[in-house]
Amino acid sequence: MKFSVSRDNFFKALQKVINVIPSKSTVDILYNVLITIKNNKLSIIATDLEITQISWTECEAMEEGDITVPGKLLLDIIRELPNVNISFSADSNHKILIKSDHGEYKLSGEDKTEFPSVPLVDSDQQVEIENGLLKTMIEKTIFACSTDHFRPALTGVLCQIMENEYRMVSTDGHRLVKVINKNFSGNGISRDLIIPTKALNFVARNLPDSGNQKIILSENHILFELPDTKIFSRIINEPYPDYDRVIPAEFSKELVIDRAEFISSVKRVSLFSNPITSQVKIVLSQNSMNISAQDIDFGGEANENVPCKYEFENIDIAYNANYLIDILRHIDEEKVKLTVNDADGPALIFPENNENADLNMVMLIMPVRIN
Amino acid sequence: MIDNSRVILHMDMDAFFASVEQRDNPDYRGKPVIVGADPQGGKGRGVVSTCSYEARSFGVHSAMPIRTAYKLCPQGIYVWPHGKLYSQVSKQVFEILYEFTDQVEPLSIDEAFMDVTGSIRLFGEGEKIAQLIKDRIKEKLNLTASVGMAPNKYLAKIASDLEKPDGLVVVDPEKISEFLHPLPISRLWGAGKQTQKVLHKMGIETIGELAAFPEDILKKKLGKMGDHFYKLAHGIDNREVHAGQGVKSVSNEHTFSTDIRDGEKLRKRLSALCDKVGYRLRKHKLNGKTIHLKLRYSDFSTITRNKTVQSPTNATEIIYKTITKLFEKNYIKGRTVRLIGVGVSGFEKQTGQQLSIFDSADNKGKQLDALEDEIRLKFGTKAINRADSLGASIRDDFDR
Repeated sequence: MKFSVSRDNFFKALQKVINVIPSKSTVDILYNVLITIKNNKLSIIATDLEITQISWTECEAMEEGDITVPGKLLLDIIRELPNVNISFSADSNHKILIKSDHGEYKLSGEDKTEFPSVPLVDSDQQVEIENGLLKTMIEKTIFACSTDHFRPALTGVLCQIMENEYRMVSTDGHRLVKVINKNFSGNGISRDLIIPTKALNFVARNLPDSGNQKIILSENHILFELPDTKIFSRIINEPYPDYDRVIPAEFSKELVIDRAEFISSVKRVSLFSNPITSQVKIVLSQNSMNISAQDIDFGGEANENVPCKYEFENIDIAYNANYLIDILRHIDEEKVKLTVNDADGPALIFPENNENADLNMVMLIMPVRIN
Repeated sequence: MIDNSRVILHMDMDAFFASVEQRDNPDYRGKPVIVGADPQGGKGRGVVSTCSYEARSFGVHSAMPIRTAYKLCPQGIYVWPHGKLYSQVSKQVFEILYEFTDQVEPLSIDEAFMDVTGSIRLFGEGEKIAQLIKDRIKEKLNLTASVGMAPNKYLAKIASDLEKPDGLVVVDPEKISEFLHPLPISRLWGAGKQTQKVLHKMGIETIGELAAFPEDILKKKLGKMGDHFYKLAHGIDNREVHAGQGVKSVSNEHTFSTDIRDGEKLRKRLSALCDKVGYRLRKHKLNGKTIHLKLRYSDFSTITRNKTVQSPTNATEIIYKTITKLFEKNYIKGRTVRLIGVGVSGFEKQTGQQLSIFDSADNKGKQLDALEDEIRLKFGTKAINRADSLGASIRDDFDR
């Protein structure tokens, strides 16, 4: 195998897939990327068995073929080169020679037989989503996913394709996000699937700002075809909890507050909360919110008053400040609405003008029990 | 910093269960009494829970397989444990301890640390308090206890064990090294068989030799524990007596009457154990974050695995779900199991508890737990069982 390629093109293609390589794996070959030369096209594949990403670029092929190369090392070499032409060749013993104007680099590759094959996503199930919206939906959901591998369903985002809407839902059991895109047609497809957060992260990173995204679904995989790259991901085949059941439909108390003021206030006060629980207490009274925190172990305390619109009976609720800040950070509007029934139940937080927006969004947070 | 101004007592009842049996059954007195599983003429399973000093002279000791005990001492009096009675007596023992101070940290049913520094003005010197406690226990309950007195917990615990039964050993704060240095390293708190092996290899046999060892090499060889052992070897232990937070974990174990490799049966037993642990947690209003699984195979190799759940729980269903996952991940299919155990630890106070979306929605589980607890409270612990543990209880199995 032998080809020559411009440094910039090679680097761009490699950089796209490099993060798929697992940081720790018992399967050594996964630290490698698979490079294939065919029809003057250079393609690079990385996989962690759950996600597979392919990128490609033009090259000048002298001899077609394929080889696997230690990914991080290859990236490090290419990164440090200026934009020159690089010549890359591999012999039958998998010895690789990279040449540039600056010198030569020799490294060992491995045969491609050990490298996992790319999943077949051969299906006519296809849907399209507007790129900008998809990106927003991903960003607004993945932060709330769980990292607990004992609850595999919660480590991904639930994507629900329906007749006239597309939903994404995430939760870690303490907070929950539901985003609905009503500007959508399911093309007769109606399906629920859970996509791992890592895959969605890569998708969001590679999504162009405009245009439409084509998504292809097979039984066990999902394929995103993006510009100069494709991302395949395994679907998490686990039952997702019945989230709609836990989102209360009615509330007895409602609050409207300036988002920026609310968030900076919580941030300041939480500096004085117990670092393990990050608990902040919120007392709502007539048009006023008092936020306070206390760290008994270290003796610090803080409290602030924030004006708001609230006309119901007083209530004391406590939250984990980090969850609260996370949620508020992911709302774009100037004012947020918070609805709640009691101090032991969930609160819903949404943008004040939720109904008119392209995306309908609900965020749920569970409190911390006081007394 | 070394603080030798505290007066710490460690009280340990002598052969507690066996002594209670001997006290209540005059026929048992002066004879080897072994509390534990049924030996079934040498074929029994399970282990010795406690044995009297008479039995110890035959080489029987607690945690020994009951059949081994039977081999050593076939003439012994074998008694099935009377758990309820022991906990009643234990309560009486602790009542006596609380007469002297409220700084009591229970370690188990028959063992406690006490910080009596503040009680000296009331009752006299530490040694006098220790003697008074022993006298009260003897007089009121007709049982004996051994007490160790020292400036810290670690030394007090060693001291109470040195002259059992009915011992009283005082460690003079001025003479800690004289007391500690001749002792073998097996007396080090936290030094298991592996650590002892490493120390032996380094040529260290006694605590004195360990104390003389350069600190940096020790830390290199033993890591974090190096520091810990170095301090202990010099008699330094600044842990406080934690009054009122006695329970650190709740667990139940089960030894099968015959070794079992049937996954279904093991799961049933796990279900029963989770139910028991959940019930005890709820009874004591405890919520734990860490769920433990213990498996002992026929060859006595034992594994313990744990998993931390998102929010502290005492719900039988959540404990069982977590245990099943641990079991599926760690049980080597086809291997025969001798003992299986479930535990919950990492207790958090009810306040400040992060509430969970799906737990609160899962009212069914909670209602079921509450109903079960109520029935047990009224009609006894065996009055109700979960269907998925059906067929798990066989009387000759040994639970503890």
